[in-house]
Amino acid sequence: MLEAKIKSEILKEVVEAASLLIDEGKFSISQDEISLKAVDPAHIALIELGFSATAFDVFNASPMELGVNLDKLKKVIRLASPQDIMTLKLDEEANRLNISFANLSHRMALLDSSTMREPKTPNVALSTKTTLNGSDLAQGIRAASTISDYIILTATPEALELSCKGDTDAINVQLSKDSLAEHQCQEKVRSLFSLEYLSSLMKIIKPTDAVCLSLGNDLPVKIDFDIAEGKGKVSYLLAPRIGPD
Amino acid sequence: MGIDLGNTIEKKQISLSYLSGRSIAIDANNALYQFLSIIRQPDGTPLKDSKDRITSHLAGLLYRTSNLVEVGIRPVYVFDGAPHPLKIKTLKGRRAIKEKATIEWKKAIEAGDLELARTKAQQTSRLSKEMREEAKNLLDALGLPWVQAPSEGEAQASWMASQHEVYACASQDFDSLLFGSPLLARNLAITGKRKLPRKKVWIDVRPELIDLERTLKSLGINREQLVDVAILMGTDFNEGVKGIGPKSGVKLIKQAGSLEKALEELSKEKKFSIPEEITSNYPQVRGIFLNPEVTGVKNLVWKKVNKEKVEKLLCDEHQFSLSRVDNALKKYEGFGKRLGQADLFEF
Repeated sequence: MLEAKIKSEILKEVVEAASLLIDEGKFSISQDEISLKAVDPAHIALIELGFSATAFDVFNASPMELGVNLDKLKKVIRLASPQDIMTLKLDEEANRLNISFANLSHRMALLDSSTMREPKTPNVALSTKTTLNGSDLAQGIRAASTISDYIILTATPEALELSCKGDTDAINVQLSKDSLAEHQCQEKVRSLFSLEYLSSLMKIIKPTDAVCLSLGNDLPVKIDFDIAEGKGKVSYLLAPRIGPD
Repeated sequence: MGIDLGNTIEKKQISLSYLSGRSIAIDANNALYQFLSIIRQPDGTPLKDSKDRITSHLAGLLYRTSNLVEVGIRPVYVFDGAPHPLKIKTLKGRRAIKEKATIEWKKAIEAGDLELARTKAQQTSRLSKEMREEAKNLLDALGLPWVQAPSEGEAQASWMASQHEVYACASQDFDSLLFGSPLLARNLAITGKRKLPRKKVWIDVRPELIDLERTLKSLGINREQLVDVAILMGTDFNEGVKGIGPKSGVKLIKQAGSLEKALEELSKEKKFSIPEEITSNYPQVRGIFLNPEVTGVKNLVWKKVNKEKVEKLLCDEHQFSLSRVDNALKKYEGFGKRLGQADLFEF
């Protein structure tokens, strides 16, 4: 059983985060939380998201898994205005999710979730933890994109550094420890990442978000932030690029 | 060519992206032959440039490989070296088939039977030294590595897989398993819709992966015994015993334990005649598969594509369409950007 009402802008945030890496996803629903875990086909990034039933105006559900075509769901949500309240109701017999808002209703066929496997989260020990503004991270990534397709993230005890080298130009963004909300780093670590993935991640991070970033040496980066007005959490793990810069 | 183990082997259907980020050693001669055979006009004429030079192999190499690099597969092409003396007879036999097919192809065109013409034309494919050199030049321009094997390309590719220099071997033959490749990928370069010859039926050719260890386990034999089965069935290096297929071959070797004992058993039965090639050459054939001549390969490097060089080679030299080439090159450019990207599950 699933019957829920939610503001369309909140649902939009969640679905956009979920569809960052995949077109079809499996939501796990419990009485008080909805979660999703997915990895992209190239095995480069993993996203885990969870949001509380309190993000909904109404939420009545029994535990279940929903296989959803995220692309389709995104298109439906885009038809709504941000303040529209969307009603979601599961038609178990027809294996459909009925979505309605304003004077529109969409009966969306669900996917067979039994064939969708949940990826294992790699166990990586990251030695640093930095909390920074979404806007600072966005600026560094945008700057790097102008000259390169990768970015080097370096943490030293004194600062977090975002840098890259192009064929002729170089860019360096320094965020000193004092300017950061939190910065824990014992010794210098450094890893390289694809900007393709980070740039698309920035589409779901707001400038005012507090973003928590953990790094290691040639290890994946872990990026955590809240969505859905603080009622949801996203944890993103991105594999590094290894080898010559 | 090589042996056909057919249905005795367990194949796992995979999607191309399953191999994303992995390096794959591709049997170059096998792939180029496929391109020369498949990439033809309806009457069987291969693609040619303005100087009447065949270009099917280059078209295949560019376009088919682009589908691999698009999903992040790292191909390395392995070229055959000098054939083993025992293979000469097989090669001569193939040449005779080609000569016969060439005559039949011309006849079919005269008779207006395009279907037959195409089928016959496919059997006439020849891979010349120039074609191999052109292929190597194209690979250089595409930024993809290639390896020149001292002898059998499949042996070299299999050895690279067994040394974990690459993740798997790609070939249409099963010989890679005899050569000891832990993983064999099939249908990589020819994935997609394919027409069955002489039938109006299109089949979906999908990549598949064969695991040597699992294969041996399910057959209940070891690799040495698998080689013995192949020798009984006939390989590129020896004629087989007529009437022995994969199933009966495995059964025989399993019961007898070794080729020597199996031959003893077979010689007692009148309906089988054992070719002299087996009795006199089998130790040598075993050696070809179990201790092949290979060369050391270290640090394979994939580089960014050199767009101008590819365009010059294909468009200026061989009159390929610039827009089609550029479209394919976009996939190589995307591949170049992802070079060095680690797999998340390596951690």
